[in-house]
Amino acid sequence: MTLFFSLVSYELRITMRQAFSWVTPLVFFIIVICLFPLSIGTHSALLSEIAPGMIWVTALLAVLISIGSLFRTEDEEGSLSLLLLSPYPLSVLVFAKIASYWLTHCLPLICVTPLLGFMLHLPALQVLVLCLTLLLGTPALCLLGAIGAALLVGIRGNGLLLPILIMPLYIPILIFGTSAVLAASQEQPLSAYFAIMGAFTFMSVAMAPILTAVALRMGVSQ
Amino acid sequence: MSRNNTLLFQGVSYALASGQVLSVRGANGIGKSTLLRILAGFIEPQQGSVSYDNQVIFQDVAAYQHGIHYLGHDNGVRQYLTVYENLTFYAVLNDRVLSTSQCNEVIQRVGLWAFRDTQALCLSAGQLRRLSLAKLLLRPAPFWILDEPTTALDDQGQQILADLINQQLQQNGMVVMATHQDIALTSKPNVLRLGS
Amino acid sequence: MWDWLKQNGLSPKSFYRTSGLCLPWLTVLFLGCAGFGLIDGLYIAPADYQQGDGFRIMYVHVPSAFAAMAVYFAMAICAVLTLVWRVKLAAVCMSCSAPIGASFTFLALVTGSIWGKPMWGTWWIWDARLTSVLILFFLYMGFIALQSILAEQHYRDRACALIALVGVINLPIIHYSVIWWNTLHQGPSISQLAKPAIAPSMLYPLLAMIAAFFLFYLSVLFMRMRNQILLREKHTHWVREVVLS
Repeated sequence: MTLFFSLVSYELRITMRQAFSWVTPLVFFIIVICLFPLSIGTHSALLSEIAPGMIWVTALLAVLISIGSLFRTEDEEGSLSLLLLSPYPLSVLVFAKIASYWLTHCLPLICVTPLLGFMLHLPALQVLVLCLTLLLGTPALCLLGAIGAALLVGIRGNGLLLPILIMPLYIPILIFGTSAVLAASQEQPLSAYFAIMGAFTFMSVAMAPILTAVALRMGVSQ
Repeated sequence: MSRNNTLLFQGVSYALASGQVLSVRGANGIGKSTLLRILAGFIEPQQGSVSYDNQVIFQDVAAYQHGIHYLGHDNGVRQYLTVYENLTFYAVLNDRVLSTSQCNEVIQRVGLWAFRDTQALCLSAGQLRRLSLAKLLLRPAPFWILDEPTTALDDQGQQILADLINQQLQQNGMVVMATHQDIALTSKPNVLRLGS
Repeated sequence: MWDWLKQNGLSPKSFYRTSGLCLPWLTVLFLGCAGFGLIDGLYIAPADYQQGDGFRIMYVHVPSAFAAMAVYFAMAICAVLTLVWRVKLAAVCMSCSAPIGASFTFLALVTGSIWGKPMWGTWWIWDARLTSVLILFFLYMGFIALQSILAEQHYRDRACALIALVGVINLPIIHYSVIWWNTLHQGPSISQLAKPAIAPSMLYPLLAMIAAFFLFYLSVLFMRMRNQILLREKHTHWVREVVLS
């Protein structure tokens, strides 16, 4: 556990020292959301109806675009072999990396979501539910994305391959995330949605780090 | 062994005793790095086997890898960490408790004291190489695998490397390295030539 | 036993021999099944009382959708064999199956959309089944894209196997979430299309067509695998003998 936290703190320090790496997805997220009112009009009923889906899809894209580089700097520096030769299980080290990635790349998105929600005329309750679903769902996005990032580590020009590979796997999360907000707008009970998303995220926590570790080991042997 | 359908080498056989150093030589692209990566347990050879202490290493790669040091082509240095942090990071990853004074001592030994709190990003290629050599001092391991350790090192750096290797050999350790240059070692290295 | 199988039964060389013997039979069986299914389905079976002759596209749509799913599962099984037991033949089978499965999926989508025109009055509807098939198509595309970008063969096999495995774990989750999403957004209007029990006169040609699709899959798969094996084993002795003889 101390290992986990100290690794996370090293990763956070590294990310903070290259601010562009975590600011870029955030700016991307905000700009893309702002494009929607500009392209489909500012009719508030329309905006508030599509806002949850819009925010979810954009968050998903922001993760997909940035997570491809999860192991890229390590690969270039050659420090992947440090992780591989460590006596600790690789899946634990990888999990620490994914956790710090989530803290620096997804948490900021969730923090600005209320602001964007109000700009899109979303009622307060729905904004709250939207943030909660993002909080529950984005870890799964990062975990699944990490598998793809590990598979494609060391392959140049993989920009669009990762989204193609991973996006279909995001569909359940997207469906339940946006449906929960819809249910909130119709004042239906929400616990089932949160339960399903939580289950999906926990399943990802259990499986994705192991698969990512397998993929990384395969990658260095190529 | 072949990569991308090109046959690199075959019929390589060698036994190394403790306290000895083996220098792998051969032209560029002949497969020196691949051979070292096989020795480090990263790649399984298509034919043949690698044994360490009478154990085939691929039966339990993880256990074997605890006992080795592998310094690859790349230095394995985190660019955005300082010299000092790089060493503590390495210690954390390898389950070593490292006091500040120990760490400082190692930094002094490789001659990077003036850059202790500089991010690795700002170091020169030779300084990065020295930093990666420092990792050899943080954790004792009986078997070192060094891929072109002399690259970018100046005379003083090469001397540090030679001292490190000599010390390792005195402690009955083993060293396998790919080099193009001779290093001033106390014992004459065995030479394995690929592609001849 | 397993080692023996891996050495002899599952070696590329012996597969090349046996598949060469099987291939003509598979082709004949396929032609028989397809001939019976098509003639019976398109001419002899009675027209549907609701849909008229329009339903006859079912004889292509249902088998192709079915085969598309089955091929993906076959790939996942090959993926396990590749990752865990390192069976070379399984990797060949997996990589050769992908384009065939993707073609089946594409066929299912096109026929589904054509079927949709008389049924729903529109070329595309976000029906749960069609949407799942579409997502399956995306999964195939991802697999093929990964396969085409990786150069080193050993790594390509294992990486593709991993992604096929992740896909197959997610497939049921995706499928049920799409069904659930569909009921949420479409209401019960679709459910009236749920077909009543199918009449035997319609069922037999359908079964024949399903068999025909699987035989077609197997024969094309064998042809592709034989081709791929020759390519992969081009440095070996026996391939030189086969090619030169």
